[in-house]
Amino acid sequence: MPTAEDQSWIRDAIARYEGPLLRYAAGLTRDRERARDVVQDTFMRLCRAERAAVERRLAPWLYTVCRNRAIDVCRKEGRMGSTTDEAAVIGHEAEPAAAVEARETHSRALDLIGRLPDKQREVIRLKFQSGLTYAQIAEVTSLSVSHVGVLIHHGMKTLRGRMGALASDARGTGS
Amino acid sequence: MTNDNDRNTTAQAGDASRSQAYPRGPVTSADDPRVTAYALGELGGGSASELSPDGASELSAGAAGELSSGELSAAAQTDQTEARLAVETWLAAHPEARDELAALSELGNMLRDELAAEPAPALDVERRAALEQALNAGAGRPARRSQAWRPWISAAAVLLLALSVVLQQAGVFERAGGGGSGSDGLGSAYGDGRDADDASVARGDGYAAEASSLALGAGRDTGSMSSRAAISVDAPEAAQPQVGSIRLSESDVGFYAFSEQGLALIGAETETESESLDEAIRLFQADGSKLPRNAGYPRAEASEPQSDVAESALEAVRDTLSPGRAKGTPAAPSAAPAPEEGGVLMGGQGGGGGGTRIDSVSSSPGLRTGPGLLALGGKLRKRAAAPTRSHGQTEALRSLGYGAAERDADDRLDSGYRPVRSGESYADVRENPFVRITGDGHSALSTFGLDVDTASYSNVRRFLHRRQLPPPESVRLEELINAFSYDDPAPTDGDPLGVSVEAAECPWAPGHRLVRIGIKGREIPASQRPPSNLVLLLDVSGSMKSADKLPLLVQSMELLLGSLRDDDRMAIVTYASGTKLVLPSTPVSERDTIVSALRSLHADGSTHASAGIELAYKVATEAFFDEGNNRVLLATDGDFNVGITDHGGLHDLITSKAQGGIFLTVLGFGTGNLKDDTAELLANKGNGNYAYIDGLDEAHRVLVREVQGTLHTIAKDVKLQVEFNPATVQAWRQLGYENRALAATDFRDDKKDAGEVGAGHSLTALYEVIPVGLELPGGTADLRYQADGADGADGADGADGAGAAGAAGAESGAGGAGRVPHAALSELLNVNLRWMPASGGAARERAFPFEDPGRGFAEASTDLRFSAAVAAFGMTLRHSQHVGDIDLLAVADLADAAKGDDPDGRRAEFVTLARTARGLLQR
Repeated sequence: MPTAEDQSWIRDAIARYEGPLLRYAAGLTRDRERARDVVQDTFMRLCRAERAAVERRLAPWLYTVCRNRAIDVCRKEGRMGSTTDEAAVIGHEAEPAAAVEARETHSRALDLIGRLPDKQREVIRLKFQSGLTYAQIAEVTSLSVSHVGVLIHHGMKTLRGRMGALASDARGTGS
Repeated sequence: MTNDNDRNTTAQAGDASRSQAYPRGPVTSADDPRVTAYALGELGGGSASELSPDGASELSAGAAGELSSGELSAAAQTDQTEARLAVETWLAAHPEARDELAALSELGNMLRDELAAEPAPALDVERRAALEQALNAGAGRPARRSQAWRPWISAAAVLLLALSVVLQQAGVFERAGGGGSGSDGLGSAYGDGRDADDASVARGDGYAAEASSLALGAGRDTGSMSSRAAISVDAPEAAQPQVGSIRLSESDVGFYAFSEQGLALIGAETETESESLDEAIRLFQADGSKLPRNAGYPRAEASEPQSDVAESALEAVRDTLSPGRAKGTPAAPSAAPAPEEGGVLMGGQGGGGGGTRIDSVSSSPGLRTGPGLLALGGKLRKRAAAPTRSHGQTEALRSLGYGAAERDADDRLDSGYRPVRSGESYADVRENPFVRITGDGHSALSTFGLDVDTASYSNVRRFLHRRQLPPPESVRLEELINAFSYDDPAPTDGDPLGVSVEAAECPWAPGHRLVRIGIKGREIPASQRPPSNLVLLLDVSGSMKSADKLPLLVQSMELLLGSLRDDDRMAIVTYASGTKLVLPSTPVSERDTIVSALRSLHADGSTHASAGIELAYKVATEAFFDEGNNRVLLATDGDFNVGITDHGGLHDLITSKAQGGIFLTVLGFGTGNLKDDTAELLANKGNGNYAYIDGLDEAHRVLVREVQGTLHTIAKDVKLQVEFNPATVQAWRQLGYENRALAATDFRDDKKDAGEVGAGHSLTALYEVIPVGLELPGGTADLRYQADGADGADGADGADGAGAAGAAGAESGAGGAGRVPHAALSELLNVNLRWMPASGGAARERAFPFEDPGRGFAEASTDLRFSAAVAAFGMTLRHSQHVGDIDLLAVADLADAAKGDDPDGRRAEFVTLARTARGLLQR
């Protein structure tokens, strides 16, 4: 039974990691309801975990548990959700009319990230959105640090290439 | 490199399986993952860029400790070091490759920014409740979303409806129980069921979509906003707003939502696709983002409001838009963001020939503003860089009775968008301790340079609006206090500066005295201001693309342009992948040229700031006004470090230019990259000021209302030295100005740089004083000087040791010998003010002795009471040990009672901020 202080610590953790974990889970499950189930399960496990064991490495622990749960859920219930559109799953659900508009502006990068291969995308988000280091990403994803480095390297290379192409398109059409 | 895709996750395996972290062998090209890792700071020992390794993107600085590199084993650290050396070896042989590193780092920052700006989803109500139950029960897995919640929801709903009637709440919000997301325009805009959360967040809402009890902008009825708390989300139906459309101009249609309470403009759309639009209304939120373009509202129907209130509001809008009035004379170019109760402001602005111009202020009781809805005339640009729904719109809808449910600020399970900062940097927190007056003359002296920066206040506001507590190190007391204007009397006898002093009982430490020193700069009419030569130095790199950056910047600059005279000059230099002189120094009489140059800016590329700064100064030098005000205005989202390899050189450049008469003002925009400490430092070196623009409201304040002060320095290197009288004072503490402290001997050292005061500026310095006769707080670590037998409580003894005590007249000095003149024995302190005239010449000095009449706090002026409240608020946010148990609610009430006239509503806004902060602190 957690003490009141433990409870408060858990609540803080929930508040802090809810959004990030939901994004991460949504990227893995491609289905929003499943992502919420996964994150709920993750926090449930946190409630049952021993605080001292987890506290020092809370972020990698949470992401790892979340990832494992997501993999389980996908295996059991079938891999893909109702949509392949990552942005929609995460919750961008823009109106059809405005979707293009929104994409045209600063979501260009998000759009391109969404089109990266699965592993590169996951690792790039963990790095630049969740702020994990290579070592932590390696721990969470069960890849080697070297592999993580390669994925990030290729991912960034692709993004640069595509953004450069977009920029020169834009200049070409005189926008 | 191994392929570990199929590996099952077990407990963290030992390092053996990952021992070779990086490839071996020399680095031969940039296409090596180690180069990327190095650029991102992964290899330890600092990277080529100035930016520190992340680890703080979504996690607070405290959490970064959880991810410390102490987790690396020795083997892993060796690998890291080897990789780093390999990269550095390669770099030494290929110095041009540093560009590549800078580009990678810039890309990383941009990714961080974009990803940070992505709306964060949230768990739904039922799952939250399940978690909460699990927490309380300590175990078990209660049911997730299920029908079991329905009876509970309905019961709560009934209760709430009753409550809402009692509270006259229009804002009760009901959620549908069903899942899924609607696909028709209105349905999904306002959500159904738990998706209302996500729908509103999914609108690209950059600010707290719900549970915000803030009123932005001016003149809000904060009472009704904050009483709207304590509403749960659990209820069956979703209310959908009624929407109508109204023609704004020949080519533009606006959309409004209406209800019993009134009407609010919430969207606009251009009907033609052609580039050459007629002048049309451009609608802005207070946060500077544009209103959404046709966020799914049906274009065909034009439902008309049924209620009288809304109908008369619609009439008012129509009147304002009618062609007869529309082509009137140009009004003040900037619409003051201070609408009357329930009014919408529309202002006209010239630019180009012909077309519709809206130029009158229209107000009608039913017309809702949503905080700070402004309409500025101008070209409606085809590509609106607006989120599809933003905070201002949400507020407008809420004021009509629509919108997502709000939660009690104290509800711990509050959901909502919580964006996080990444890559921002601040100087460390230090707090001035109490200084006990001893025999040493210097302990009775407080010396510091003045500061008119106000960035900390808008920065703190930015965090609180996003339901986040600001980092303590970003809270600078003096900047919070100085963000408000005070009623100090103007200086007399030809001096540019005047000083007034007041004291009262300290509200958080009974028995202590709180002293307020007010410094006021002389007002100078705009026509008498010397001409200004301004060079805008604008960061247009890719990261400036978001709505709260470049678009807001352009709007801000147009506001500034509106407050300049025809004989002022403006030039525009941009820096991104290259440096560009977008507009040579042009007299403001050619407004149209300047405006079209501003509107041609777009964000792209990486940041190369140093060449930009050099070019800006060059342009300023060429257009120099000998008797005028010459200034570079640097506007950036913070990332001007990248590309500058020589910081010392930059500082030297800025300082020498300032000595030559070209000052530097820094304007910060946007979130996630704000290098607050650097910005402040550069502005100090440049003899200018640093402001953070978090919305059009603040842009208006800094660049229009206070432009005389911002642009026209009337006194330079202004310093204060306060001498406390040991006969009456045991110990003293300065609130704020930690970054400005000077040594006592610096006071008359005219080579020491201090702050500048502009025309009409008012500044405040606060001190907490422990008078003689009181028990000193023995147990605290506040006192710098321990009791060593010298008993400060004995007036006579104290007086002769401290030669500096209360010398009469203008003469004051540290270490002057002699007794305190009898007349001065009862004074509390003496304020010495010293400055350099702006036009050059010898330093001037004045003294202002002060005797404390012993007022209680309630008898003090509104200025003292209000600044005390702001100080208490700031100290609480900084976790000061001096503020005791004071509750921010009490602080808010105190500020509310001390608002005074509050013509621009800023004080009222502060009251709401204090309440918000208190709610956040309670979690």
